[in-house]
Amino acid sequence: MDIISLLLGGIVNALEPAVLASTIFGAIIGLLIGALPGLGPTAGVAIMLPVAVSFGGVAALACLAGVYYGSMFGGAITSILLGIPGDAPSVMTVLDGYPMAQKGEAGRALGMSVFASFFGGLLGLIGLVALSVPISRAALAFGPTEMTALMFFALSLVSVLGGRNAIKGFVALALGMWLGMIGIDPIAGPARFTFGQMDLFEGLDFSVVAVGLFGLTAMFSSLDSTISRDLAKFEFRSLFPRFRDAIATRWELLSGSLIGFVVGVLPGVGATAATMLSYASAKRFSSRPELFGTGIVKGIAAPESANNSASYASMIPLFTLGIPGSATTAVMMGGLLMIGLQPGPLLFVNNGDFIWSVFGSFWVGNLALVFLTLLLTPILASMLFVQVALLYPVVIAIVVFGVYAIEYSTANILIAVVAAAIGLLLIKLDYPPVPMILGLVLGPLLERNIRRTMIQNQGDLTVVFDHPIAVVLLVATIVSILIPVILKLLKKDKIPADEQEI
Amino acid sequence: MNIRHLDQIVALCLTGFGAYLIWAGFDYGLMRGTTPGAGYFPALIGGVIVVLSIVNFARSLGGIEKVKATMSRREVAQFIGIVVAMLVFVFITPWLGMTLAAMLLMPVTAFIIRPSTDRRFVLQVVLVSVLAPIICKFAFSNLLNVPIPAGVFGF
Repeated sequence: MDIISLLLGGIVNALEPAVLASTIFGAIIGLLIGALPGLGPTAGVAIMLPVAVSFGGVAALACLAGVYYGSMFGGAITSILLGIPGDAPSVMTVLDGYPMAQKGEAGRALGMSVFASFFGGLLGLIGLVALSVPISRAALAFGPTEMTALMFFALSLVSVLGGRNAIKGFVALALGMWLGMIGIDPIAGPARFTFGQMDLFEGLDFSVVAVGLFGLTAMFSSLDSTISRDLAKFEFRSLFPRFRDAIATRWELLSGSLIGFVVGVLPGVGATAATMLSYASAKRFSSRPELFGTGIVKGIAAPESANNSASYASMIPLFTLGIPGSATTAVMMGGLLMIGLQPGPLLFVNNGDFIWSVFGSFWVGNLALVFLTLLLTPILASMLFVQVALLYPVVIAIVVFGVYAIEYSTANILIAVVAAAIGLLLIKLDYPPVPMILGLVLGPLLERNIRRTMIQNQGDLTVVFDHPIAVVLLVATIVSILIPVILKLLKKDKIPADEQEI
Repeated sequence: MNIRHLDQIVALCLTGFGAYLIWAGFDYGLMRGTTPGAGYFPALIGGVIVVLSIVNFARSLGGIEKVKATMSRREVAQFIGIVVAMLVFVFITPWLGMTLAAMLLMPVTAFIIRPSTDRRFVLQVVLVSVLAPIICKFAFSNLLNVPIPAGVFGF
């Protein structure tokens, strides 16, 4: 009952004009980002980061999260109307959504995707609210040794699961950690890797690197993307979800949401894998599996409920443990740090009002997106044909203004461009960007924890064996590093975890 | 040069970079008695990069690692063009002001992505290149109170 009253208070706070406006603004941007092929939720959150942070407080995070879960709603639009996934988590929606559109049922498919997204989001939010408090309370008992071991585990999982090549994943992680070392060493004092540049004394601004690495890189990777197919036609009134379809797909909605939630919590796996697993599961347990792929609402219900549920679940490790498990939540963590808040268990103790207001904005946003998506689908559908040659210069203009606004410095624009160039090169060579950004965010924390432990224990790291939880986590880390070897021996393919693998 | 050679060159460069980190780590100081110095982690990270990059190089050389992505010459040229345009933007902003500089950056970017003299496209580019920076300036300057550089023309 305590949680319910906190949540209700948070929802009331989230309905304040500034927060509500930020939530809806972020949700609309997310819808657009999700619908447009070429830019995914991570790129969208990264591009909006400098803008959102200037809103301050709850509004900043409400906007960023709105972009994230809004893109889950929007991704289905191109999947259904064009047969092209708007982002990686919408890939599975193409399998039944586009055939439905070709049969003249585009409106019905879109209506089901909106309802399934809402339903999955609702279950994801229930899980987020129900689990956040107990997990954060348990995490309060974690000391620095346990937190360090947990970070090792999360980073190893992301590096192994988050790309095609685990070895390159660890190289990317190491590079990210190096980026986090730039600046004055907080323990010993000397300036590291600043090359005499005063701008670098305080280190690299995370948001600048994120904008370059994800926002600009995503655009540079898709300069030639054009849509050459015709848009499937639909009538506005056909968009409204049907009660009969909702009842018929109840098991797919429920199983998709649960699978999405469980998979979404795991670091490094993500919404894309959740949609694939939920679709496969729905097909496997269906009484008519041969119908999947021919254009049925069940084929939309499962993946769409999964990706929205996963998007909220992926925020649990971020808020409760301070460990982001994906690039998008890593960028959101950057946003939290920029507004002066450290994510983790103490967030619920020291900033309870803030976190419950943010959760309240998620509930408001999830409901608002049902109406926003239905209302804006015709406009979004027409915007799909705006040329990249017109769209990307606008996005670049927003990026340069936004990056400048962070520290009122054009040097940051240079850093973002360099980050984009390096990011593009690394992505083309299969070095995944997710471990790199996590290394940048968590590397400094990890280094501080380990060095402090060594200082306190006169250089003796074997004290970790006095902490059973830490030992278990370190063993799990070793196991996760061995996962690619085990998969190779079993000749199993890894489920693709991010856009690079789709 | 194909993508496989580029992969090998990058692996070699990263090996060299890792070696530099190890050297820098020693320079910053590895240990002070029993406590780790500022160079402890750079050296550790450098070591990891060296070892893993050598493995990557060997895998690429042996044909075990196959990079699937490609980038056409046109894409490379577009990318370099836009990067150069953005670098020029940074350098002219203090003189021209951010809004006017953006009004130049945008059409250059648009024509790099789609080199076309189609009249309708040119009109669209001009319209977007004028409106978008003005809207951005208003939003950032008036709504978010960010002091956008004005340049010699005061705008």
